[in-house]
Amino acid sequence: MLKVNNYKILLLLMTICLTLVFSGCKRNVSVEHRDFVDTIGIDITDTGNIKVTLLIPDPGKVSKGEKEVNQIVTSEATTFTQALKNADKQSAKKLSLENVRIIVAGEELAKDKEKQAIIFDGIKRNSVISKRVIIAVSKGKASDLLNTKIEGVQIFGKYIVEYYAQSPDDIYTAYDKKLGKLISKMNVVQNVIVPEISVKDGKLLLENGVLFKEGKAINTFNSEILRGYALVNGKINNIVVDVELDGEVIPITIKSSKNKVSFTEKNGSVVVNVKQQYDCSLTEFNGGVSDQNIKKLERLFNEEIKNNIEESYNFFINENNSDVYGFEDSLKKENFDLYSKYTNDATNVEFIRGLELNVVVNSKIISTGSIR
Amino acid sequence: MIFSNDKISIRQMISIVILDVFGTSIIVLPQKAAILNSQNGWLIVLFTSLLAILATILITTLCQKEINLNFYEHTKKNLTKPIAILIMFVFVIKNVLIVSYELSAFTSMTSQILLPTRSLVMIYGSMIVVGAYCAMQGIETRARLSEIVVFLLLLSLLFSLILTSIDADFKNLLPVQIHGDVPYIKYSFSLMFAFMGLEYLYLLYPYISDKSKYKSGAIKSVAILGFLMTVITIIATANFNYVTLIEQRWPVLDMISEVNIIGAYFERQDALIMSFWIMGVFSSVTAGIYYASVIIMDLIPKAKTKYVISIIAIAIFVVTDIYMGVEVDDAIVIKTINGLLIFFLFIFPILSLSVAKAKEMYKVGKTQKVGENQNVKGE
Repeated sequence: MLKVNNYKILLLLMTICLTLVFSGCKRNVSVEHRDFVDTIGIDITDTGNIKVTLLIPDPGKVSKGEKEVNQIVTSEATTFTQALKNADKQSAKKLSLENVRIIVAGEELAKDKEKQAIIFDGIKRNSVISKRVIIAVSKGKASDLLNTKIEGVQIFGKYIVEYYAQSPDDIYTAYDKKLGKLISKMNVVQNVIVPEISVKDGKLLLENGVLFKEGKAINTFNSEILRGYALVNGKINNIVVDVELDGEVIPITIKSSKNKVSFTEKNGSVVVNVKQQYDCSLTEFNGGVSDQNIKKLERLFNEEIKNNIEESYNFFINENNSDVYGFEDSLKKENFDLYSKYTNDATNVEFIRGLELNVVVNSKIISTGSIR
Repeated sequence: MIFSNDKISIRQMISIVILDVFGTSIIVLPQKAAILNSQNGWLIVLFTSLLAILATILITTLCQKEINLNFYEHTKKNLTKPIAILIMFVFVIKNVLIVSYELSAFTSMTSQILLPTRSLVMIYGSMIVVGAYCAMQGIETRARLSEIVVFLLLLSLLFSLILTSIDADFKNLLPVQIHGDVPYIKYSFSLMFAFMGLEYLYLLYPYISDKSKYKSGAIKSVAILGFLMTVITIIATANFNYVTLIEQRWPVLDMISEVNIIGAYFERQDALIMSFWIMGVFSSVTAGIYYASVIIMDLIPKAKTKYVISIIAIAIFVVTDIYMGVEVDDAIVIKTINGLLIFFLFIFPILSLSVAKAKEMYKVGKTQKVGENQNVKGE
């Protein structure tokens, strides 16, 4: 027979009490009484206040496949934290920020260094917002973007996250888009590039970028510039590069790539040697696939890539004095003596403008597709 | 093991040492190392680990010298009774300080990540109550628990480290510079707080079933810990770059929070690692209370264990409350703990061993002299 003494009963009662009292669930709010925020849009108003726009999808409507699934809550305050608090008061349910997937800053806010620094600090210190949240900038106001009906987009943040996730080796990997990595890079090289999101003719445009330097947006750029940057960083594969042969546009797909950036000294300046090696495939070519044509295409491809890299380098380094590539940091890591020699008496801008670029591209078309 | 009362195996000892040391210090170590030696902070951690191995050799040598005596008894034998009582007193205070520091750090972190609405007193109060209860159960319960928990802890940590290292940029560790400007030994000693809990080796010794393997087992556990600490620092530096690392209070948690496990059920991995880390802190709290009670029981053999443990738990509660309530400079607390640790890990064993050796030599000399005198008389 099971014997239970008083001590064990006391222990059992204590365990039950402790479980109930110490569980931390005193102010627990069940899932159905919560609003899970998917996207936060942040703008500066004309009066200098902070305006937040929260996109809250309704799971019930999502499961029914309804077109209008989002509830939009907006609020204004002098600070980001207060604006969020006000938004919480406006919402009938408790707002939850654990599932925020994207934070979109309005164009005007992105250009305001002081305001942005305070808001960014608020986001960094918020223990609820994930470090993997995507940071982006809208063309125009973020509230306008989030209030626009976009073709094929049901839940805004979810769509963006899936869009980038489905392109794991595309040029978008070059964006410094995740909060944690963004903070790291901002601290080290102080130059970052984040996605610019805009809507044109009811469709989302996700291929452009915004250049941030020392805490504020200084310029925007298109996907060509982004590609040139991504090629130097050696992060991409599987993208299509168009080359023109005898008046005909031929798409060449990069299958795999090798990339090396090194530094040498020449005639009193530091040379950045960007060496690229590509294996490509040809799948659309309405002509004879002769050895001669293949060689021509390889040469044209090399030129296209080289031009693309130089154009991108020119945009960032020469036009914007912005070392987004982190060349200074790389040189410091790889050749400290050379780094010391050229940075001792020079400012950051003088140093990067004094760099010389030397691009060498080699490619090989390894596949010409198959005709069935 | 359940049948041999108050005895633990070497394997259990290794688990206990790993868990006792594995606490808050590991979570903050990469930041402290980066502050000292930027991208080469891991080198300091490596040297600190070597120092910890040296301390382990000193402690175990001292313990094995007096095979049948406990910590208090061999201190009394070597350094006289008043000094031994003073040292035991300092050891207990050090335990209270360490546990309170661990709990205050743990509480502030838990309230940020897991329990934002819960009162802080509830968090550390419940940890102390459960820790004290576990301490009352004795060494065997701790040993059996450690055997299971250590695997959960280490496997989850290794899993997280592998995932974080995939995204890490190991170029952030460059340039590797070893030069004379860096006072490696001084810095290594200043990171000794990472090994707080190692001094419990003095008190663990009487419970070991196979005392001949004590030294090798202890060295093994410290080597595992040193390896883990170095790897964690390397991966944290590679992940964040030392510039960012210096700014982060809990870099290891931040690092793991950024892990993206494709298809994982949990969106936030920091909460997951946090739940395993709770076990490490819980073990440190239990160890602090348990070993303090062992010392007091050695000093006052007639005292009842449960009352001793209750008093220690109350003392820890009060000190933790002071930590949480008053703005105490973290650097001063770490420096104080570090100083106490250096005393117990290096100064005390060297002093004890030297005195023991001197006494031995004196005894041998005296015996020889008596022998010679007797020979002279005989002649």
